[in-house]
Amino acid sequence: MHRFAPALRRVARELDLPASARARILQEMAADLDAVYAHYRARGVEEAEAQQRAEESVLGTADVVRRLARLHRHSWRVWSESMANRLSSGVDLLMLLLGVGPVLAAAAVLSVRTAAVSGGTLGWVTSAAGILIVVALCTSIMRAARHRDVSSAVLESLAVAGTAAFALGVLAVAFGLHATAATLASGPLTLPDVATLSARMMRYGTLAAVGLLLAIAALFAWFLLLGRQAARLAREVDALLGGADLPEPRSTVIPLNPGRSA
Amino acid sequence: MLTTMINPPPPPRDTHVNESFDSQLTTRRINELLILSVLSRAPMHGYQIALEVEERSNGFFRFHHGTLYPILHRLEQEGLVAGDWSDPAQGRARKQYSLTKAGRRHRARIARDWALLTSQVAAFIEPEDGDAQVRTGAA
Repeated sequence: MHRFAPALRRVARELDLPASARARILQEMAADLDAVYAHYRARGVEEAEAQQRAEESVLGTADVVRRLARLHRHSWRVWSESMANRLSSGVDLLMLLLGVGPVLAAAAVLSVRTAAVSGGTLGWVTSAAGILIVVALCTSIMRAARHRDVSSAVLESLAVAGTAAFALGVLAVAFGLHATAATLASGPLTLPDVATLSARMMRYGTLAAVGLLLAIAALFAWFLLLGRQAARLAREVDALLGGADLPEPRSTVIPLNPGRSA
Repeated sequence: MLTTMINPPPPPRDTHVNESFDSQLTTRRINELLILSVLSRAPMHGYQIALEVEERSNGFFRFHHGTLYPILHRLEQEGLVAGDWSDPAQGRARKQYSLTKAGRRHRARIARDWALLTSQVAAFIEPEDGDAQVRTGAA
């Protein structure tokens, strides 16, 4: 157990934050407490006094802790972390896999079949790129799971990749609709026009399917990695504080009828 | 000596402050300027930042380490500093702060504002002829 565990436990109880944010703040404070303590000890200050001075200097007042909590308390963060924790538990993970798995498989089959039927280079290239990115995503998840370490940078890049893929899918739908509308507005369709239109719609459909498939995969991976990171940080803080029973953050659900809820 | 520059005491009631001059904002800018200036030299831990500010100002500015966290974390959220964690495999994980490009630009901007403010105040309180005569007479 850490030398400053009792003091850190007091701070932890006042930090009404998701586990990972609370863990990061406590780890930072613990490292600085050690450094300040060593600083005083090196100047010949007695052990007990050095400890007291370090606590006074680093942990600050209750107001500082409240300001820190306010700074880090975002509704989306509380929600996403509680969601990630739920997904990390076996039953929810199984339900998610059963729900998302068939959708992913259907989207993958659809995109490959569409690419094969349309025969367009664009379709094949996007499908191949999509499959490559999914494989890369799976590899990074496996690596993160093996090393039990997920950096915030990985989570951020995953969120960016997922958003970009979603945007790609939406853009493909928009361009497809626009192209169809433009063709239909140009006048009566001949048989070759219909064939061209069908091929174009298939290509845009492929692009949309691949984009949405990637977005779903990225979202899925993001939640899993976030859950792993939160669990790892919680374990580390648990070891630091010697198994403190810390409160869960308050719910951020806003009551629809605040007047009646009382 | 200025100890822990955040949360300044409220001004006395008979002080008339121009509405465009926000004393809390000025205090906040000084804190930012001190921290960003220290980080412009090298990346540091929170504890080192507090020590460096104190040493470089010969003890004139002194931060309680605890009061640094809200400022550093806000600067990090605003993208002005970047906080990186050391590898836990190499011992205890420690967070080190470094200045970002946006932080460098922000530092330059508030340094300019600060130079303007101090030059304006210095020009305003420049001794008048009467003060000079009093000093000469006293000498």
